[in-house]
Amino acid sequence: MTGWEEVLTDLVRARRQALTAYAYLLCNDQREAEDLVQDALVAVFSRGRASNDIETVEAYVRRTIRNTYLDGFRRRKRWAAIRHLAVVPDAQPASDDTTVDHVPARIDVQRALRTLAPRERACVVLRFYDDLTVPQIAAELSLSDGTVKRYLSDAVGRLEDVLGPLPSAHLEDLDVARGGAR
Amino acid sequence: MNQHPNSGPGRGNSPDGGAPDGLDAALRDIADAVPSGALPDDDFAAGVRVRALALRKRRTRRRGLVAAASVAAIAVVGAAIATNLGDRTPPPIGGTPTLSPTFDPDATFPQCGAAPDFEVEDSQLTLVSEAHLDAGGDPASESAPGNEPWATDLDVGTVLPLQLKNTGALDVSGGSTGYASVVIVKDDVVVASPGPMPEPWAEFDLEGGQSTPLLSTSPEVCGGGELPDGEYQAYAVLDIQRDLSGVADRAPLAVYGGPWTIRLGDDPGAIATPEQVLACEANVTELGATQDPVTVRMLADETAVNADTGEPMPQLRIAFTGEPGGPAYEIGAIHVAAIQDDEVVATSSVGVEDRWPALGADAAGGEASSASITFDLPTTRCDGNALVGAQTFQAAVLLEPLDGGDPFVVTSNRWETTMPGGSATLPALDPEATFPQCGAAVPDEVDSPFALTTDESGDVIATNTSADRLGGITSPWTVGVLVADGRVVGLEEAVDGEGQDFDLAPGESIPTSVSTSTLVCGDAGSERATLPAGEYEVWAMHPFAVRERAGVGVHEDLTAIARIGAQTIAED
Repeated sequence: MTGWEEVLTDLVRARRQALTAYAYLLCNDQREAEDLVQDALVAVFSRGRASNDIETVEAYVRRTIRNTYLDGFRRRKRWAAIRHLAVVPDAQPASDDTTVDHVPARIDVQRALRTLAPRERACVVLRFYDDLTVPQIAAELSLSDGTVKRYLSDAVGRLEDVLGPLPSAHLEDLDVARGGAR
Repeated sequence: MNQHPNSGPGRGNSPDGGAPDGLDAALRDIADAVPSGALPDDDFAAGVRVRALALRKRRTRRRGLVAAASVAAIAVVGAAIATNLGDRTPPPIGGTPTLSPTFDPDATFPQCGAAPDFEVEDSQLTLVSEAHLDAGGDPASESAPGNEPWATDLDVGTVLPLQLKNTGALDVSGGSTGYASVVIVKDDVVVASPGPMPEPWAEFDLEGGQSTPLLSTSPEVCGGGELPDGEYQAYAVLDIQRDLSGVADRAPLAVYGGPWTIRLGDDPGAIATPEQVLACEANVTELGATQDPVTVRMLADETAVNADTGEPMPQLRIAFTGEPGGPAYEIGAIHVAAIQDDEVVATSSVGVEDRWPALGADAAGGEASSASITFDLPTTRCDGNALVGAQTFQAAVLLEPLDGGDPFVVTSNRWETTMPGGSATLPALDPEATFPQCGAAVPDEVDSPFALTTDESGDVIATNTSADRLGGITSPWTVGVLVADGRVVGLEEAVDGEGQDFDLAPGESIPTSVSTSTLVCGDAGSERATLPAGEYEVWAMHPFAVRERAGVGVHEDLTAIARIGAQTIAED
């Protein structure tokens, strides 16, 4: 095996679940998440020389997952708006450690996430899952800080429509009027 | 990941238990519950590796030769060079096989349009191919210009075996990518130029007369599309850096090989693959009857029992009779096709090398011998539906000898049998399911501004029954389900599609399409039986993402649900 093939194997063995989970947070579909991960890995490892550092490569793969997801939904934007209505939903992903408390919370949040537009959803994942700052999100998505703030503000508003108040999700740096970005 | 200096959202759940006050905690909870996927990690990685390798080789090409052979003799040391020797023109969309070998006086070999003129430096090095056969029918150690055409087929990635050979008496060392570029020429004009070059670096050190295997890159058809079938000349080019005695720096050098005559397209002498002979929906009227010394018959009296379901499993027996003095057979794989009305309706393959004994004269010490093997019939139709219930079959069986000999087909008698799963069990009413999920109860009433009806031709139309103009996005089709005793028992598996915009004034309608499945709904991915004969209600659900109501922006996800008719499933 060549160097990149060894890096690929190591990355899959060590981080495949994490990558799949990351993709799932974006697309909310297990099969699509697996496809996103595979497509991203293929894209990364089919280009020239990849880094031998697993963390560096993983970051690159995550970025590719995100871009692939956003690109795909740019093309399928209209379908994304109604997919949750037109497609009979699959069962929840299996979990060995779900609890009575966690299950409804997870389902509620997943339902709430479905109401978000793809860019809003990507911003939410970057902000609340990746713990990125607004400027970092803006850099990752090639958006302005103000646009990211509006996406996040709109997204939190939509999530609250389903989940109820999320006071701690309102940051000072998100204090912008809703509805500005679409 | 970097931590947000103001990690604002509350961590963990709210005091009342389930509400996800902390979005980060809820997202991590979701992420933790996501499985990696069904494939083992190493198998998954192998799949990625294959696709990545293919992309590395094919990044911008449509088709071509696939890299060959082993490179065990080449030491890959990790440095890289990237060479692009040819032109690249985006292939036309939907291109049909055309060829326009237009000579370009400004192009230099191996660019598109160039003549195969190149200066061969006296380097002791050349590229040789072993693609041809010698006069005795054995693989030639070195193909020569003028050899009989070597039949190949670029579309299926036939290998062009190449070697770098030191034709002199002195040692020659240096390095290259280990990949030679293949160039296709027609009428003295390059019609397929080198494709992308992989980046590894391989050292070589060849004694006089010694050679080392190379990989070959895939050529790209000039102007895109495909090359018409026919004869062409193939050349190969390898960029190397040669060590020169007494010189510190290596000297770049192009090493050439060819021309070798190749024939593109189907090889008329090729043996059809099992997939071709017994492919789904293949017509098998020409297969003929069972041939000696192999016979196939149905084991009507030795039906096995499915260990999982306890249901009877019809089996097929292949009985083999070895004639005294006849050939010996060792079968490596068996491909089975279930045939109805001269058409393959289901297929399966089994490897039997560990179960099928060597038979024939040799195995029986010159005496007649016989043996048989049984295996299950295919259970899934080519269209993905389960093969269940009473069926009339003929079977065609393709046997692949272990020794690489020609596969041969035998066919069975016709018989009637009952495949397991014919007695379909309808799903029970599921109070947790939401219409139109499997087992869900049909709703008593639906509060929706849209109504579903059928027109004279039976097509479904959705009508805005509200007093407002409604606009937004909707599905191009309607979800149709079959209902028995008030719950969903048949559901078409969902597929993704493209949404469509709608803008309906009060009373206006849009047409839509609906289809239903006559299979029992249930777990996705499992084989599903046909619904029992009888009459079923047909219900439909159509989704609307309303984004504008009476000129005001809204965010309303709505559905229209209605009973739109009935469907009768007849006895098979």
